[in-house]
Amino acid sequence: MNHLLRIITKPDNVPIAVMLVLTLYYTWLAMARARKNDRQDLSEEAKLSDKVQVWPYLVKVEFLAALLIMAILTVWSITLNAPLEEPANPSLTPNPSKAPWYFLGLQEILVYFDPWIAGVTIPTLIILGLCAIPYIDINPKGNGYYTFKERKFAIVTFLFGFLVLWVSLIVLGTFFRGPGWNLFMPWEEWDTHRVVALTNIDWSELFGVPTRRVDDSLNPFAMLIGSATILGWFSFGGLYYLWKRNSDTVKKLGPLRYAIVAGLFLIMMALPIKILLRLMLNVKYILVTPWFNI
Amino acid sequence: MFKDRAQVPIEVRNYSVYYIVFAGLLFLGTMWAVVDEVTTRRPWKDVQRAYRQEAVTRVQQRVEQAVADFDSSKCNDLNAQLAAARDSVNGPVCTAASGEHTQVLEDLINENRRYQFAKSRGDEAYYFYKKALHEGGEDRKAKERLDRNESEMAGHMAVITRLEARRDSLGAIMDRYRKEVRRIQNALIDLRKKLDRWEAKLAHVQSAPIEIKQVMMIDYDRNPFNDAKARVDRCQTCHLGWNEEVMEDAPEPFRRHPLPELLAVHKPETMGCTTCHRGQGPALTAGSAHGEDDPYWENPLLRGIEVWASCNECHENMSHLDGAPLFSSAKRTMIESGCFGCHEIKGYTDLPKIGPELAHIVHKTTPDWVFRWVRNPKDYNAHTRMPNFRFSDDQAEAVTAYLWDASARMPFTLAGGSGGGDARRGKALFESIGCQACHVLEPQAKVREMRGTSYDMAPELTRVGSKVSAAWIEDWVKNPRHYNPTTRMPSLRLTDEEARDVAAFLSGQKGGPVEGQRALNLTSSVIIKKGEGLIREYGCAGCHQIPGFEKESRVSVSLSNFGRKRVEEMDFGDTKVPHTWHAWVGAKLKDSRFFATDRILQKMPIFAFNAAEIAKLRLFLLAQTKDEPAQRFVETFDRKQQNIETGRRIAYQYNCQQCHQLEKEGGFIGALIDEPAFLPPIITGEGKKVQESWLHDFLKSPSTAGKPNSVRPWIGTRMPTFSLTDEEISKLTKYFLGLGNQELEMRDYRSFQPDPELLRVGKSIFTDFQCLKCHPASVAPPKPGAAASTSDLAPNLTKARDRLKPEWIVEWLADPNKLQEGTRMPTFFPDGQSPLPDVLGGDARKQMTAIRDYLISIGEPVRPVVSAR
Repeated sequence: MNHLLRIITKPDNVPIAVMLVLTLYYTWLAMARARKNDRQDLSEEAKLSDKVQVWPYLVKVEFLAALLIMAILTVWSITLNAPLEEPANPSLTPNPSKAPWYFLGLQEILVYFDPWIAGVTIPTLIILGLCAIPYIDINPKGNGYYTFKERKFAIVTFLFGFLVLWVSLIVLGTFFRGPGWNLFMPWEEWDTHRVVALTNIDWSELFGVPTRRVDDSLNPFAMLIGSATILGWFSFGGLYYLWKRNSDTVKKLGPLRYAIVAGLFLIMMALPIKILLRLMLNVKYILVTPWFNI
Repeated sequence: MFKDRAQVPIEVRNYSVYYIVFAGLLFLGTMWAVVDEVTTRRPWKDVQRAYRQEAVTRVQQRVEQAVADFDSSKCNDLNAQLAAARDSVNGPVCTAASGEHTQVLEDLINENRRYQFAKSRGDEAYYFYKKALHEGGEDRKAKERLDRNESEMAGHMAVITRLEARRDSLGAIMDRYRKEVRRIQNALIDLRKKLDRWEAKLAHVQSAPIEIKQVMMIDYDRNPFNDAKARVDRCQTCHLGWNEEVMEDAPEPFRRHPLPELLAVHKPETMGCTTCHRGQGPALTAGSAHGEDDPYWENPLLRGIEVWASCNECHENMSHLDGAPLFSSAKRTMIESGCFGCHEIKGYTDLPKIGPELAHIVHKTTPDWVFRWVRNPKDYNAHTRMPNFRFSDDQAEAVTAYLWDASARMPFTLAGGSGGGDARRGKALFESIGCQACHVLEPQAKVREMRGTSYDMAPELTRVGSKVSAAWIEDWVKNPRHYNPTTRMPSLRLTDEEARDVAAFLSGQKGGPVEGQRALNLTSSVIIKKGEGLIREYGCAGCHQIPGFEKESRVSVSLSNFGRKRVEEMDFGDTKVPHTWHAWVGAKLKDSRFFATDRILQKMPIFAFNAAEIAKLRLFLLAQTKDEPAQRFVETFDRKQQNIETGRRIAYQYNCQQCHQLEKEGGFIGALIDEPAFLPPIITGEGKKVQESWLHDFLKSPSTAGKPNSVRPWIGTRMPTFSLTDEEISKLTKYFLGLGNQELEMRDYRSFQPDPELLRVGKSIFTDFQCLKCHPASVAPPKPGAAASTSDLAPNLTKARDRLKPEWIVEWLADPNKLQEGTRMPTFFPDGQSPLPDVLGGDARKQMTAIRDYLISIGEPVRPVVSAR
């Protein structure tokens, strides 16, 4: 555990540890308030009858908060020195080479996907998906008060995407990824010379179909299995539509919006599934083509 | 509490307590920041205060000493003289002169003005007069005015001249008095000089500001992107006393630098400290600056002898540096150990292989001996430079088999073999002609002890009889190049009989471990093939020339950036050695197979370096970096330096320093020779001293004892014949010339003609100085008993004409000790003063020239003196 402690208390990791605590605390706070509101008819926020002016009542509190933050930052900067390392050298990069902490999630995804998927496609989809939210969220409830009951799908999906696919990957990248980007448990020392068995296989090989034939050309059967798997995954969207086409939500969404929501949702859910397949079954690629691999 | 508060409407909530607490926290935080910034993070301020205290105490002592040494009676004397001199300045004569002087100066000014005005008026009149002339008329009035003014000018000028003369004579009178005052004042200043100096120093130290002392070199470094990068050194912020005489024995960090003469060349004021010592220049605490507290700093302080490693950054091309004996010695150890045979080392890729050729080994020794040798060379000779490969018996057999097979195919026949030498005579010869300068024959190991290395430069001969036959020894000592054309072993010009005697003596030196414990199979082609594989794998051809391995490349890694090798790149195997560069290298040099594991085989053989050699080799390895400062800091490797380095390597190759002292190194044969007069000469200044053609002839074929061209024929030790090629001799000549700051030029020393007048004088001085008391000056060998003993004899002067450079003789006569420290040649011209004031007007230089001319004239055969036309 000493190693974990040493990593957590490294000056550049302290804010990440603090961020983790704060994220969990605020999530809990929001959920606690939502629960309270959901149990009663009138939300707590609605009980506050009056509105007050920003100036001076809000600005006053913000000023006090600014004072406190400045005091904290001053003490922080005195007690924790900047964690400087060697002078930068392009021919000798540090091991592990880590992205800025807020990109560690993306760097972690690089382990499971090819660079152009992990570094280009997925971030693009994240941005597009976030931009699309106002247009595909047709649920008018939950404005100005905490609630869970009225926005279950939205909140669960968001929390999954944010906490599991973003924050936890940052934590994983910060505290569990050591030299060689190898996975180290908290009780393990970060050993540069650690040897990891390389036994990854492709999805089709799980079923005894090799990805490549003896002459190193791609095996069409393997491609078939991979394509079928991916198509099968996305067909869940269509099946659900057929099943629930008469429900209110699906009707309100309409086919286009439904297609967008379902597509983004399925892509998002495919991500952790691929991660699990890798971690548990050593699956490298689902589909290998001459142009791209998934 | 917060719940109650939540009930209060926001408009009436009171935030004063929060405000006071938060503002207070911020205030305290800010105060802390100030204290932190001014004191906590500036520990060097305390260091500077401590320095001031230390320095003030020490300087005060000097001031007190200066006060005690002060000659107050002389001071009083001078003060009294000064008062008297001032009085006489104020006396009637001087006062009167001074008064008149002032009056004269005033008159001069007035008279000068009158002259100027007259001249100006005249110029005006001249203008009008000339103008009228050009216009065709004549202005009589103007002409009149011009003439009048010119005559006025002449009158004024006469007065001015008179006044100036008066002024000068008055000035001279006053000067006489004032000069005396100035002289006494200067004497007083001189008297107080020391005291004033220390008092000024004291004031300076006391008022020295507390401040960061920084040296910045704008373009010293390059960053990894190859842009110029400034290097900032603040070491002198704490190491304040580095250049202070008074801080000679002060405690660190205030102590004076121990090598001020090095700092005179590498000025810390402009070059900083980290250029040599490394460390983190900008840091201001000891831990960060030295590197212990900053594991990320790539250049921690070089401690102990390793500071010499940094010489290499600017002096990479040199194997020897005068001011850096450890640096030179480290490179020498690397060269002598033959590291370059297996590793690529920048600058040392074309050195000759250090081991002997193995092409004819079948004619030299027995398979049993080779087998034992290959298995572990130290078994037979603990001081061999050949390392131990830890071959198994089977592997050793295979290597032996290949060598036997390969060398048996090479055509070769031994020339000797007549036998019948006299071992007793051989022993006497062996001990007198200098064999032991390189070869140890137990129990005589003085040379080895003096060298202090764990290895010998030539094989120990204590058990040589059980290795080689008398016939081979005879062939070898007669002409080593017959058996091995690339050997460094020189010929000592033995006669056939002498060679037989030495062979008889040496072949009797037997002993060592029992031979032939294993019946060797030398004919199986499988085993021979295996041997070939082993030789290739273990890189035997790095040191030896082996038939079939003429074009092998180096078997191991390049060391070009080894000093920067990172700990992560080093494999520590299963050992408990601390994970540092130093520990790894130390352990590797001590036992090169130390880090081997059951999976990682290591092929580097095991050397037997002693602790000092390990330290030096580690220093050398530490210096192997690609760090190179900006070009202007790097020593230029110009033609002269190249010549020196090239020749130096020839000298290293042939081991000149085993007998001669050269560049302040070597002369190990001295361990065997009790009488300093019989030592081989110090040859550092040879280029300045001897004529190039003589040097060539001498190196080509050194004189044999007893032959008339020998300089000191009475010495038994022989300068061997190295069979140098003309190219090697040329390189050596340029080396010696370079060391003596001489250019290679075409000179005809024979055309030198002495001045007949000087010649006569030279001869008489020569007699007066009794040169012949020590120097023989005849062709005949000195008769025994002529001098007190041969150890009192000096070089034969009849050789001077064809051997010495004329200008060197004069320089030598002027101060022999300057050219060769500790020489027994007396100085006849101390401080350039001649003891013979009557000869040639007492001109020392002329007298030396006269002696020189005489010396040149007594050369054999005597040259006709041609009088000047």
